[in-house]
Amino acid sequence: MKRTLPSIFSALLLLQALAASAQSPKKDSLPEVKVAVPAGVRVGLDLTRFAVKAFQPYRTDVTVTLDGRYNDRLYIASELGYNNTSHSDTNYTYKGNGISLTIGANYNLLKKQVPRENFMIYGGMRYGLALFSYEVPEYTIYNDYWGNTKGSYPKTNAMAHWVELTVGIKVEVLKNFYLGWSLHERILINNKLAKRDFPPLVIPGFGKGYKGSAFDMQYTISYLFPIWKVKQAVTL
Amino acid sequence: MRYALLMICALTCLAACDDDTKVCDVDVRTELRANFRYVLNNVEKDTTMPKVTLYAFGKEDDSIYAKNPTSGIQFSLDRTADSSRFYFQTDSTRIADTLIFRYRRQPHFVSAGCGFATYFTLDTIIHTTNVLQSIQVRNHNVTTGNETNLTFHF
Repeated sequence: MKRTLPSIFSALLLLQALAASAQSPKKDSLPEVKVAVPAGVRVGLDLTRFAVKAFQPYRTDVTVTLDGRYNDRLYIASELGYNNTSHSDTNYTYKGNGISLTIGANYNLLKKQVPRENFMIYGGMRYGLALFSYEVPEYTIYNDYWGNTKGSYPKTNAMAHWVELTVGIKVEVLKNFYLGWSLHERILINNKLAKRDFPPLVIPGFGKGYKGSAFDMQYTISYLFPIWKVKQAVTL
Repeated sequence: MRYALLMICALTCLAACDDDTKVCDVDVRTELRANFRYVLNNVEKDTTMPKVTLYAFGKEDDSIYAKNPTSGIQFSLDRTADSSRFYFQTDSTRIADTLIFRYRRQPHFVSAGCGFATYFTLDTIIHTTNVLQSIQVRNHNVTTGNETNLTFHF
């Protein structure tokens, strides 16, 4: 009897495994079903902008992220930004401020296995636009022979626009609360702005204004306002 | 591999965050530079003048070169005027020449850490021909201190 019970148990396990393997072709042949899942507008705040202030004290940035689920995998995404730049040293004084807007889409690269699974690894693309002004109230050019000369650069209104590629992840850590990080590569379209005799130090939403491209990282905390539902394909 | 990628990301992020206003790794001096050439037996070659004196008129007490042996000169133009006039003597025993440079000036933002420099574009050069025979302009734009703009022929 002692030998019989383990044998029966092993046989049952083997049968179960065989049954499972026999079922798998059937499972693949089942049609995908569409399940309505909650979706809506996700509003977030980029926390790295506060860290940037520690590295670049002359910059004050605030970036609010928005995204809304359009369908199974596609999210319409946008960012609103504000920047104030104020720098002063022995060479020059700089003042600038402005706002930015990016709009584009994120594509979720993960195929969801469970309808309510709320994390995503995504790639995205954006178009960005910034309206800002900047000025140099005073600058000094040093020269030992002729003496130092002072000058100023008047307040200038400028517009910058760029394309942006992004990859990132978002994870639901509490109900409707998300944490996420993303990497951004931005390429300035009106590159002449960065090549001016006096380019801006910072373009709101873009980064360093005297370079034609900018790399950036965001760490966002966001909240999903479930407003509508989207149909999501799920394989049973 | 994952750690290497993370390291690259972290370093790139740090590079993106660094404070450019603290670093100036460019020489912001914009100076006119000239070399000396001398023709001997129909062959032109570089030459050294034994006691070069150079100063701007009005700054006689403040010479850029004071009887220095040199094969070329480097000097800055007046940033507050559109022309500069210089006294130029190759040897204390020889007659001096007068050099007049007319140019356009443009303040230029060099970098966040270095601030501004004045860029010059040479328009006209007028000079006496006591010792100096001619001036050849090799580059009209004066944007650094490392590029030879002129050749003085003796």
